[in-house]
Amino acid sequence: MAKLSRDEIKERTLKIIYNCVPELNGVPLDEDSVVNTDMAMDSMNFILVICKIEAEFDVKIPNRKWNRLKTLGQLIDAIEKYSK
Amino acid sequence: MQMYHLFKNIHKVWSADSGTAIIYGDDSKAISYAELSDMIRSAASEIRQSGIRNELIVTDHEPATIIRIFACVISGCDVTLIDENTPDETLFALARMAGAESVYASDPDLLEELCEECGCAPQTFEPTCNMKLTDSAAELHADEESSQCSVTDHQTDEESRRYSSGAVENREGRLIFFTSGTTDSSKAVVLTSESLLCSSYSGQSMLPCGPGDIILSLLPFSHVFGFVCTMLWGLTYGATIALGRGTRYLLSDCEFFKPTILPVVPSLLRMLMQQHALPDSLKVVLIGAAPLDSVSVKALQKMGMKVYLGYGLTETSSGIAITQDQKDPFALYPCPGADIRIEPDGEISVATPCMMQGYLDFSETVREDAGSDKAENNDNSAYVLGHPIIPVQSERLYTGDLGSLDAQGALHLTGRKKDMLVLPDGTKVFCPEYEEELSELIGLSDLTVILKENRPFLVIGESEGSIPENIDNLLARFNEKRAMGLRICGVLSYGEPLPRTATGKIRRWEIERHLV
Repeated sequence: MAKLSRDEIKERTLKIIYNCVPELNGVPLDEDSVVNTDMAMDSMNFILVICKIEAEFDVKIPNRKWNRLKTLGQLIDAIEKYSK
Repeated sequence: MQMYHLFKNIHKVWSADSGTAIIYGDDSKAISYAELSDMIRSAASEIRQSGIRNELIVTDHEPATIIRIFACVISGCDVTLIDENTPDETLFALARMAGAESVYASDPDLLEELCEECGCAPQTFEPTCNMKLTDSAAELHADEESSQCSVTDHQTDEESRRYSSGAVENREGRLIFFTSGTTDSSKAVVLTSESLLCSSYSGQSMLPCGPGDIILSLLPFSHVFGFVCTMLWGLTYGATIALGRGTRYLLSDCEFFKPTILPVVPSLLRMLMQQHALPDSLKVVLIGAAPLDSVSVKALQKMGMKVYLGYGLTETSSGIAITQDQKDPFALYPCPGADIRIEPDGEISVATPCMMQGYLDFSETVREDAGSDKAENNDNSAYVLGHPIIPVQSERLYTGDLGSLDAQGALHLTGRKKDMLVLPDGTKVFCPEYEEELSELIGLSDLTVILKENRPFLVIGESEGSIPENIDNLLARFNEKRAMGLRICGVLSYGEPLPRTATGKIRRWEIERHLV
């Protein structure tokens, strides 16, 4: 897969989040927004988001790392890091 | 059907079995039972030589982790199991509490962090297989005989005296599972290979599996349902265990491995159903940890699958009762040897041969003063990780669940005793009923009811926004049809999402501790 810009990663990630968690539709999310189970995402929604993001970007982020990601910005950082 | 009592026994059977025990990874690598047996034997030998007596194992779905667990237990090493996905804070707290001599985790970064945090020795481990199929069984016997000597060789004189009875020399390591903490903080439950194999036997008696079956393993081995139903049960009776490849492949693992049996918890099952991820190969869905709704049961049956619901607790090594009748999918029939009774207050009590040894009491330790009178006067088998086991006080376990028995002796679950608030006059409030009605009325789902100053209060979590402005009017509508004592008399904001277990159950005790 061609290297994606940060904005492209963000756009695709948000699309996945909004698809997996319809309750968030219309809620603006920026890089500081919390996107884990601390917000309106139950554990299964969160797992679904992980699953879809890893498939979308062809990355495998270690489970331990996922537990430590809180914000959209951190999530994009991880996708960039593990895409390399 | 064979009932086994020790992991050593099934290990011996595996050594002469060329069938496939485990399939795993993106290229569907396979490990035969004979190879699995050989790798366990080799690892057990190393563990005996190292003299490790207890180990914390961070569980994942790597074959090496399964091998490590069996090897530890067979070599007499007690193991504490914690899931790799446990949040850091909890993971480190449990690891510190367990205080194991050594730690095994397949993730090297996590292993390093845990060892730094807990001051224990890291265990790196690569399973090796030097199998000579025809010699495996004979080698196993020889190895077991020599191993008893090597265990003694590594003990001090003091320890040797305490290990001097034959029973202790031959004992297998025990397995410590942490409960999910629905009604209290997590408890460390001490199980044995015997209790877990008894549970496998119970499962097999009610729902047989065997060669030709592929059981997809997606649940953590640190939970007793995951350990028994997605791993031990299948391995004990000759099925193939397909190890889930991790979160990324959660939706594709079913199609990839083509399982015939899927043990699963309701939340995960619903997600797999919503994403159309259940394959045509699937014949049996075994539900555990929480009840499944009737709509989902019917949908699965319509897809041609048989649906079984299991009922059990960590304390009973899982299996107490399993549904049998597809026409009555909520009637749970007792497993062999399980004596289920309904107590006068509706609570389910059970006696079972799969019962735990007891809970670990972390408030006491004898490790520091191993030579003291206290330590000498106790049978060492009553201790794990230097902490005493609080033995089961009576042969019956009071489950905290509410239920009834029908004319055929089948158990029907109705709720949790802890979900019931008892008012000063003895009147009972069944929280799930309140929660369902209030949730519909207010339009929020992250809420519960607790007792404060002996009166019911509504507690709202913050996962869905603020408390509605018209809450007083809504509560007035809720209260108008209820007697005075049963009315909600106030609203409390929890300030954050309500604490829940991994299966979504509300940790009411934690809320009460915070607010009352």
